[in-house]
Amino acid sequence: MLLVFPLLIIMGFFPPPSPAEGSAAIAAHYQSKSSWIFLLGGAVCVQMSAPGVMWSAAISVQLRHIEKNEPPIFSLTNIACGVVAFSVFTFACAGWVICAFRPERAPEIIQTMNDWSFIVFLGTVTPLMGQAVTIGLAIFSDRSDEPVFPRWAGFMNCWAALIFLPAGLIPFFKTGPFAWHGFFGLWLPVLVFGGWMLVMSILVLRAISKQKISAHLTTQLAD
Amino acid sequence: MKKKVPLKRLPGEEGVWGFVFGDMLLFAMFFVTFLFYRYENGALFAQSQTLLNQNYGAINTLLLLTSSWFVALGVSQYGKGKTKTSARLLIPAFICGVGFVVIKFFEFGEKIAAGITLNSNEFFTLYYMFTGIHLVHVFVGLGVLFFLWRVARQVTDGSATKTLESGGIFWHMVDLLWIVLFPLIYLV
Repeated sequence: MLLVFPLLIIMGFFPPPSPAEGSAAIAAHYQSKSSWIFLLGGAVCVQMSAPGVMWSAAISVQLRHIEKNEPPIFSLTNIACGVVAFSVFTFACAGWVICAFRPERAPEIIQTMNDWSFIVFLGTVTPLMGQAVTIGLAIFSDRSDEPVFPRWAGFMNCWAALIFLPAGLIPFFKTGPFAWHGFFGLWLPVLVFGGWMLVMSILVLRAISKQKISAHLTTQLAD
Repeated sequence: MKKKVPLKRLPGEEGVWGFVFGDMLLFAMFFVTFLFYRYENGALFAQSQTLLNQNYGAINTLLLLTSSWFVALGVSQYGKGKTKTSARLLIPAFICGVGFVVIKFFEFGEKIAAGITLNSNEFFTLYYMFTGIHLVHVFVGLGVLFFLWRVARQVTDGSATKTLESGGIFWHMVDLLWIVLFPLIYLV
């Protein structure tokens, strides 16, 4: 993600072209800059699904610790939603790459592909919400004396899911704060998404180091 | 009669307050957005507001307040160990919440039948989005109330006070947000 955000900014997507713009203006957006920036940026973003899936897997492993011997509904849902979320991200980026691949083609076609990318990028938000809600519920179900994640993280996940929600409604707007270049459609969900990934990464790392310590102690005690 | 009350006791668990804060932050941004657009386009907003049905809004305010009252009674009864009464009090609270949803559907239906939709103008975009996202909260809140009802029935030893309080806090927040939304969108 550290790589993806700067790339999207370089590609000129923050702020993104308004959905209300005509096809010529959208096409000009791809023709104005050297197209290799789009190609390179998009081509790198397209490959980002694997790290995203690994990140989801790391969380699922921790959720598995919470579930213990219960059916693995949380960990499975989380990893499945992660796979879908990051595949969808790949498709969105592929659309931008396609726009930049032949910027000289008819503006209407570029506009269609650009629409596709933004609507897929922001509009398909349920997998991410699914991840956040699943993690939240798993944390709430953690009744052990030493919970894997702190309980406030459960509430944070539910809150993040709520913030992602308006991004799913971008297809209904071409202007205003809920459109794909608006505050509630783009900025807030993306910022919270970045923060959420960061916090969850830190929490997973902490949980792992705690488990390493306790594993170390048990082996020492056994000796 | 003097009761012994611990000096500092936070109802519910800490996390729920964090969540409430975060959620109110989102709605605070909604309110600022609304005021900003109204400032830009006062005449349109004043004119569009007259097309809203204040009666629906007022009935819904009453429903949510009544519901909140039942929840507050239920939670306090649970704290006193009367878990059965508590569970019984949560039923009318739930019904009031369902009433809110039903009236909201009538209200939206009336608007759509009159040809007023999401993109009619800026006012109605914000009206549908803000009340719609609040409605999502009501749905979640109904799930929470159902969960509380089950807890109150099953955990009869009074050990689930924190859970009931936390759920109650969420429901009160849903109520509170509506109490701000209603005057802001329908009346002022």
